[in-house]
Amino acid sequence: MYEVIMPKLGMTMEKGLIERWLKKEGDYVEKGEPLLEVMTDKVTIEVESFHNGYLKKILAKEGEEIPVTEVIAYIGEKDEKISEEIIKGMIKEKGEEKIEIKRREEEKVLIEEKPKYKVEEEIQIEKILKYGKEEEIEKAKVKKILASPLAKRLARQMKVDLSKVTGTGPGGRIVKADVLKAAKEVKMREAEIKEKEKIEIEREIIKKRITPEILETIPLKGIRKTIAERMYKSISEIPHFTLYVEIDISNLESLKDKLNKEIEGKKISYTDLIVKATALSLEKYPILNSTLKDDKVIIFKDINVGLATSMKDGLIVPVIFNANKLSLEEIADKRVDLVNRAGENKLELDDVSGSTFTITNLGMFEIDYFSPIINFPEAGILSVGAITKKPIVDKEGKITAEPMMKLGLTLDHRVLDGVTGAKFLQYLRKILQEPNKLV
Amino acid sequence: MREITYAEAIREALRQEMRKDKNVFLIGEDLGIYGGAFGVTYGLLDEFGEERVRDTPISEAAIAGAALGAAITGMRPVAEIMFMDFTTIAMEQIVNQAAKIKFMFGGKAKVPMVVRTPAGSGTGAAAQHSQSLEAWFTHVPGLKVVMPSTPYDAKGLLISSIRDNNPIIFIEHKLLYKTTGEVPEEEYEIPLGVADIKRKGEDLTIVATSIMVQRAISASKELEKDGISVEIVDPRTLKPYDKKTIIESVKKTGKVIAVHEACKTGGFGAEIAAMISESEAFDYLDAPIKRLGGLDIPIPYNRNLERHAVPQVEDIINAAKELIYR
Repeated sequence: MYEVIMPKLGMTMEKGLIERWLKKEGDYVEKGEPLLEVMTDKVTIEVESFHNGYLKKILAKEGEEIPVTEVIAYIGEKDEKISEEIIKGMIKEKGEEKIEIKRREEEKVLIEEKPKYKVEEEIQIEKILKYGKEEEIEKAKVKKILASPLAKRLARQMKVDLSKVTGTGPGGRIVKADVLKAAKEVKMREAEIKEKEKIEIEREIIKKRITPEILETIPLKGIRKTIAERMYKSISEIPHFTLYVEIDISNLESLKDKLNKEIEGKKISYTDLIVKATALSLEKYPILNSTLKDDKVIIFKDINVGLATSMKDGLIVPVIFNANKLSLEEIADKRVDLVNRAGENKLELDDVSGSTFTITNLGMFEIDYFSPIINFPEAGILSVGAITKKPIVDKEGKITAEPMMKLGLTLDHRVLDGVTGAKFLQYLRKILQEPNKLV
Repeated sequence: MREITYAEAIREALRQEMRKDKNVFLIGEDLGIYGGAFGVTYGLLDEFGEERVRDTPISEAAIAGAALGAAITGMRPVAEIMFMDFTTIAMEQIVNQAAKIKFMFGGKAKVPMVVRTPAGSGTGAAAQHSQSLEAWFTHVPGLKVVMPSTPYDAKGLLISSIRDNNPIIFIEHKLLYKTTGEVPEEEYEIPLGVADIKRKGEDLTIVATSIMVQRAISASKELEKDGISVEIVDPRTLKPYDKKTIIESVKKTGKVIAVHEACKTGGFGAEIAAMISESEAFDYLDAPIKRLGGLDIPIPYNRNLERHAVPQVEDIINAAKELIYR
């Protein structure tokens, strides 16, 4: 069993105040490890343990002032019993502590029952006046509070600090009127504070009323964080503009039905048709298949079409590479594979990198038009809305009901202007209305 | 109510007690034919005769001794010492004998005697005829000391004193004899040891005795013009005296002046001040206790000097203003 003592940290140090124990009773402590913080009159110092072992018993509590070299704790082996002598010592101390507590309580009663004519400070001052050094005496003389017994009693009752009261009696003596005045001022100040608190509370109530109550807080992380960052980057860097068209797809519909009858087991979707048509349009207008980088527009030869696909936690854009060179069947195969794997969260980095233009489709959710955010750093994104039957006036002036597809083309205005976008859409419309080109 | 003088009030008390109780008799110098040096006993000889109104030779020791002997044997003598200064001659009989008898005889003997004597200056009677020696007697266990300030108190207190079974020093004041006040015609007692609040006030307590009660009242009327409200407490009996009334008054006002004509050093004001500072009233003091008393000099013959030797109305006003400090 080792003793931990209050260390003498300086030549003149006589006592140290235990600021904080860094270990609890029962904690293992290594030699050289900080054990507690001791505050001297100048600094707070970490005291290290001199021994390896378990902190068995703390004798001096935080906030206690202990003379140097006095035992403040014991360190020992895990199962080591605290010796009887030490226990005896502790009991004795506890006994003394009890007596001390009792004495303090009695003193307290005395103070409360009988008016204490001399406050501690006064007794201290009187001691200095009697036995102190010359300069101390001078100081003490200035410090002694001159107050009538009545003023002192009232100050006690009204909890007025006489050291802060200016006496107006003979020789600057603090008299009843001074204390009453001071108490009144304190009361006024308290009332002011109360008033302020009241206003503060009212403010809090209003604040609470106008602050929506939170149902749940979801930390921004993973794919959501990536989406957030990329969307913000795109919308803040790219000046977006969108062109809308409505296209009669009755021919496309027929083609789709025909193809799906011919091919066994596979299904060509509108998405596949649009991917192919878009890829061909990009071939015709390569400026849309580009990116702006450092004052340069880089136009890609490869036409890699990204498909915005929803996942459980967000959105991902798997890529159909060189879509312009693939058959509809190939596109359909690729799409089915990518969408399935997206659903299972099994897409790899290679599947989602390298797109040069993106298509996003909300048609199945009966959305007519929407203006998406460009998949940074691309130059454009095609948004596909719902297909609905609408009355159409044909060349002979007859009205017929035809399936209409709504498309939006959102572009980077830094790279190109509306006319180019419009021409692209004209071309895309032509393909979709005369879709034989796609096969 | 009828108004009579302080001297007449005392005479009336003597007459009524003498009519009521044949054991009551008067003894002193020039009481009878002359009617007393200040005329207090004038006319009593005619009514009660030489047996009960006894003129004596000029020997205060004999007056006190004879009264004491009579008291022990069942009479109720009222002795008069012409000037309080002459009680010095009677001191052995009063202090060593009268005050002690009851105790030394284990209560079997009693001494129902009253020593009436005029004190105070203000008549140009010089150092040997002007003293106020009440503090001496308050220092002697076994004696009671009574000091009335008004005709009403004088009559009631003298009747109580005559009826009391202890030796009593009944101190009158030469300047008060001719003052007047309302006094009931019938007999009445004022209990010994009970103070009287002569005036109610809030800012300052003046504890005054004898002639100083009148001066304190005059001063308080002046002070009232300055918005200072004075409470005047007259102990009336100095031994035993009414501490409670004084303490309560001081607790209310927080400031106190004790004023008497006797010399300040060792005067009764010192007793009052000490008692207050020992009492619960200490914590109610908002200023030091102030004593006003006579200068520590023999009373001068010169009338101007005599006036300045003892507290006057203006001295009380100044002391009050000093204490109020505003």
